[in-house]
Order: sequence, then C-alpha cells, then structure tokens
Amino acid sequence: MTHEALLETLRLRIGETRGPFVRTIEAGALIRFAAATGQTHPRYFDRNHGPVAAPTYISTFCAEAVAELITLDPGLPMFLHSDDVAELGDPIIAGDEIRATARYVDAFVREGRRGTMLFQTAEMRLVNQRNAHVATVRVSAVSF
Amino acid sequence: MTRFDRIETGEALPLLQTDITREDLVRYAGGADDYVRQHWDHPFMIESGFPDVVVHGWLTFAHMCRAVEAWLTPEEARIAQFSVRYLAPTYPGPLSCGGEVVSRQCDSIIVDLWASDVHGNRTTRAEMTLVRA
Repeated sequence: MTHEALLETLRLRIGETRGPFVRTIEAGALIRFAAATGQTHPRYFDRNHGPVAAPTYISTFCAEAVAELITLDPGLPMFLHSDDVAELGDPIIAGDEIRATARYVDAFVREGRRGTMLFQTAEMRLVNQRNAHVATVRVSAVSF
Repeated sequence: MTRFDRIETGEALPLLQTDITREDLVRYAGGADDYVRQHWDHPFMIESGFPDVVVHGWLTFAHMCRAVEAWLTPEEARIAQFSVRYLAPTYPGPLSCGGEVVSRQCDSIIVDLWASDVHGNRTTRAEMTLVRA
C-alpha cells in the first residue's frame, strides 16, 4: 500500500473514539511509577497524604486508551513516539477514580530524515470522580 | 515575596544528570504498562537499523520534569501545560536535562527544556508552563 493510500485509510478513522476506561488509583501503583521515574519528592510516596501521582503518570492511561486507537502497525517497519502536548488540571491522588476517553484526531505524512514519515495523533481526556478535568493529552506517533 | 515571584526570564535550571539503564526500562515498562517492543527487543531494534533499544519518550520527559521540580518544587509551582517533541531516539546511558526560563508573567512561568545524550545530542525538547501551586 502506498503512503497516500495508507493515509487515506487512516484519515477515515478521524473522530473514532475509545473508552471510557475507568481505573481506581491505587497508592502502590503511584509509588511504583514514582520509583520507576526516579522521583525523590516525598509527595509521590507518602501514603498518609495520597500519594499524589508524579507529573507524567497520565501517560499510563495511553496503553489502554491511545495504543488501541493509533494504528501501531500500519504496514511500515518501525514506529516511534514523536510528540506529546498536555494540559493538566486536578492532580491524581490515590483513591481517585479516573475515566479516560480517547479520540483519533489526525493522520498526515511529512518528509523526514528517514524518508516519508506517517504521523498519527490521538487525544486522551481524563476526568476524576467529581468529573473535574485532570488532563487532556495529545499523543503522536510516527511510522516509517 | 515567594520564590515563584523571584524567578526571572533567562534563569537557567540546574542541570540534572542521570543514567538510564536497561533495568530502568524494564521497571518503567511495568510501572507504566508500556510493553512496546522498541523498548526491550534488542535484536529487533538492531535488525531495524538502530544501535540499541529506545528509552520510552515519557521516561525521558519524566526526568525533564524532575529537573524542573528540583529547581521549583511542587509546593511552589504546578505544571499546567507542556508540549514535548522527541527529536531523535534516546538510548540507554547518561542523560542530561536542563532548561531556561523564556517568559515570565505575574502568574505563570514558561520554560524551555531539553534532554541530551552522552554525545551532547539534544534528543528531546519541551516547553512547559508553570503556575503558582
């Protein structure tokens, strides 16, 4: 399939959605994530006051909400993560119930160092149990 | 006057230096539920023309956030927005993260951030908006 034909197929997916995916946030998961990202600040480990999620914990919802939406194997040999754009609202704290929804927002091609590169973008929105905005994240991947 | 108020345009963030090992990638994969093979399948990456497995983009950015929070703590400022661009693959090994204040308003600070590998290649760039905590 040519890049043009592939792009045409993917662009038909714009507006497609996934979710909501609902997750109750466990203290242990936040602590494991904080440790895995090298955090040292006590707020990310303190079970008496949360703990609070480290800033990039929002990324953990991508595996469920975004990876299913972006076509990771569009017929090109390699894909890599290319961009993230995020707006953050309420923090995530242990005990929260987070609802994630995602939408396929764009597909386009661009010439790059590795030839024709195919970009796909999905937007993920997270809200908590009070329906307060937690994060909106646009995740892009490039295939080549 | 709080520390947030005293930050000025042009101020550089202290450099954060770390070393990302393959063990770190395994730990991160478990913590983030991110098992994409580009981060663990060494033979696949070599066959694909890469010198090594690639560090998760979000893990590189997490260290960039650490550089920010080591400079201006979560008690002093909250991350309100960011945009990150992964310019080139980051491979396991030494990583340096730094940045500079590029804009200062009454209630917000914008910083340009970067991460560079052992060869000095800036593999990741970001812009972040911080507001009062």
